[in-house]
Amino acid sequence: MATNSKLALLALAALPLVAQDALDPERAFRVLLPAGAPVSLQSADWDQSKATARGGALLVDLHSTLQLKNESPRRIRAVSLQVVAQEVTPGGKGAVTVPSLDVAPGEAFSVRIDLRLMRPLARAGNALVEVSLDGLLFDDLTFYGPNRLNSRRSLLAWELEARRDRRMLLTILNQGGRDRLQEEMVQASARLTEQSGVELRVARATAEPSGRELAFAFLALPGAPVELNSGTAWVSPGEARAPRIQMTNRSNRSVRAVEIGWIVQDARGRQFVAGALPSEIEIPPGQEAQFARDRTLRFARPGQPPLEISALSAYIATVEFADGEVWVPGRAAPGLSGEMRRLVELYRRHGLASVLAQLQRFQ
Amino acid sequence: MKHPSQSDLALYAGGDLAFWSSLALRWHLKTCERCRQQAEAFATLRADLETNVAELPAGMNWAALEAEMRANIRLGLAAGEIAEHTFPGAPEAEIVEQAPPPPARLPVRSLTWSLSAPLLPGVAVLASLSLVVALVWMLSHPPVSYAPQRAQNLNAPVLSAWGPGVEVSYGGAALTLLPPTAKAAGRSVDLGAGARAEYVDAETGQVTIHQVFYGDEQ
Repeated sequence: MATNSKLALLALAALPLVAQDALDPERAFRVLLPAGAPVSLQSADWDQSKATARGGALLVDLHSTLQLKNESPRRIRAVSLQVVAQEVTPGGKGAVTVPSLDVAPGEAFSVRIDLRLMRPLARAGNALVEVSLDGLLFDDLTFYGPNRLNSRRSLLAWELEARRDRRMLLTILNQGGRDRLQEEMVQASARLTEQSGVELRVARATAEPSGRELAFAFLALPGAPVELNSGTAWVSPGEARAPRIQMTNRSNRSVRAVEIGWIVQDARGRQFVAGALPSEIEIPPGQEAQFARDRTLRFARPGQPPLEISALSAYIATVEFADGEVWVPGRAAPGLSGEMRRLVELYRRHGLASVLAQLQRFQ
Repeated sequence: MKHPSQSDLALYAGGDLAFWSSLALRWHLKTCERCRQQAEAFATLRADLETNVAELPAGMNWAALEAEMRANIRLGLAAGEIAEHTFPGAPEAEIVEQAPPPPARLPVRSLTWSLSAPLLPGVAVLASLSLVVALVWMLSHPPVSYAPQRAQNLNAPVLSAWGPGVEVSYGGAALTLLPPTAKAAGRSVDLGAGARAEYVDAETGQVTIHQVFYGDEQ
């Protein structure tokens, strides 16, 4: 037998020595759905999950596909699940959300859960992960769920933007035909490519702001019930810190939350939609309020030097009124909505026919 | 092809990578032009730093410098882990300072001479087997980024839409939502509400949104 073959056999024989344990599903996972919930759990396969000790850390990899069934008489448009591992990351929690669904009564659908927990080996405690329902959105825009993660607002905003964009694409199709729709998808695809490639990290600011103070430029969107007046943030290469923005409620209704989208421009003039500044902020009609966060936001592009921030822009992305109604911008909003990103990906893979099928499906 | 991390490349360039990891990485560099260039860039950076200690040069590649610093922190904390094990209850801030006592040297010469000749082939086979087991262990357990995250998170929780997935980490523990088998279509962070990543399965059009939060800030 050749030396290489012997070594390969020895390596195979040694494989069982690797410290990798399958997890006991009874002790490691729990899926909690309230009694009488509009969805039921059909199955959950945790077979691919395992725990591994590496160095001074214990890694727990959990992989599962949850099969849920719509037990309600209405079509489900979106679902949001809360993921908590209280013993491992006290205070930390996750959410897995699937929007743009179209699940008829009695139909099943799947939600994939892939997560990793890491904790020092020396720390005692169970690695129990609890998955629970945070919210469901139906096609009549009614909501069910405890809403601990404020999923109602985000699911509703997603659905409203999706309806707006599908309506816009249908108008383009009806007025300009398939060629004009194709042109629109090509343009959206180019915008999506421009916006990708920036990684982001946020942490509490623990030191005095440094760098230079930069004023936000505000994009006024037609019909926005809240107006942004003035604002600044401290910027240094690859970093923006401690944003402060003054705003006014121009509507005749009380506002309870505002999400401000912001765009970062680098020294070469390239723009990146960097994220959002959500704020639970009560603003009575006609009144002013200030948004301030003691946070540091870091930008990175893999393999490239730090982003030189030359300008900051902001716009109102979502407004939630005290009565629960949610406002989203019209077509003039910068960036692409989640639904447009979804349709662009389908267009890139399957062409215009898949976009047309989606437009008909949700009509 | 699986590429080594930036931290390992930085350590390798500085001659600080562990022997077996260094061997595996050197093998990889023979076939990977991109990683070889990165390792050379780290080596150049290190040389620059040594000649410009008093003043950091303009146009510094901060990303590369950060990777090297993180790698060195990992080394220090790994030593700290051993020290913590050796000296339980030692203050965390001082762990890195407490290097573990050097392992006692085996009396190799006397051991060799004390073995009778018929046992020597068996010892050689045992040694080879141990080597293979160690190699298999090492290759199947790439270094994890536990230590640098721990170093960053001593003071505050960190929410990341950075690297693989989105993560909330604090005090050496982390919850990471890993990307599903779908294309990442967008990432964003909310200053206060958490980090978020969006994935689209281009086959089915199904969107999955991952978010992590800390405390009651969502």
